[in-house]
Amino acid sequence: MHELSITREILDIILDAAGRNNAKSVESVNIELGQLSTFDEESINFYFEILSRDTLAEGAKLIFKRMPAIAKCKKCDRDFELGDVFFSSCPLCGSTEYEVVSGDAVKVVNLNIED
Amino acid sequence: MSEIEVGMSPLEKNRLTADQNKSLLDEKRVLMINIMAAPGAGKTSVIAGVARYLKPKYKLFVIEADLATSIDTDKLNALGIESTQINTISMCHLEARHISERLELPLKESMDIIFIENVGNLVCPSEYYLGEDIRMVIISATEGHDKVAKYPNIFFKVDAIVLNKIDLMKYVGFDEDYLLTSISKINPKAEFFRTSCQTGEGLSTLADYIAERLAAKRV
Repeated sequence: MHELSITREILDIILDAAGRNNAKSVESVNIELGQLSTFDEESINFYFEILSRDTLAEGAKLIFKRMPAIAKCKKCDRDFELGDVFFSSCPLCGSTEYEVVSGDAVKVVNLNIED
Repeated sequence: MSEIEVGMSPLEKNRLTADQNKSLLDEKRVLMINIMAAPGAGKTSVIAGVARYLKPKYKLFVIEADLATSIDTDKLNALGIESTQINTISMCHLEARHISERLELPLKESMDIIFIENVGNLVCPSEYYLGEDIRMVIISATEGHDKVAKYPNIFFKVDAIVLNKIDLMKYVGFDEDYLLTSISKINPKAEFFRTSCQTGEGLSTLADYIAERLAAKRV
């Protein structure tokens, strides 16, 4: 039941924004998930379909974008987007010595409403 | 059709509740530790192990979380460690609201250190900040040396990583270098401890670290 509470929060954010903007319905919602976030798109969709019934957000399409984790190279000190968390190398200097600095954020970016 | 900018995190409400927990604890200068691990890594044993060293000096309290039973609180209560049990039934992790419901007693009784034993799971608890001062993950030798590589998310933002059951390393071909290399990539700033709850090795060092963190909070 990992995604149930996060989906409730996502729906609350959507309904709040839609309500404040007098939306008739919500068409789509853009959501960013960091590469290191453990939340699963399919499970969020599953819960969203159930939770959004009979609300302004019923039928809204959730559009997810996975945001890459960012690592800092320990050799050349520059930031780069990680592919695999452990088996990547710095695209600038080739070093495999790096430190992950970000990548677990979750954000409801924007929504498209019918007004 | 129009576009509305939102830019909000669905974890924000949990973070606000966690911040409230944190300020209640800060006010009373109580240290809270969120302990996360897979089922069977030895969370309860490590708590009981460090409690042997901490209990003579400090008042300890444990918030236990499991899907079912009060096995862990019964165990701790038998050792004279005060604890409360949360049964999450089907939930795979604790959220800040679970903790805020259980803080009244330890705060009223002027506890020094609160241990939270999160639900046994290496995935879900990582997303939810509870208001703790120390985030700790325990991995045990029998789980294998690749746990950090396979479950990077939970190790990303912890303060301390404990390798438990080190007495069994030699029997299960545990490659400690592999583990340390993974840690150096995902979280090189994390404190690293090695413990065995069977031989007692490393438990006093871990207890010292906790006592130091409490002292630092009380400066």
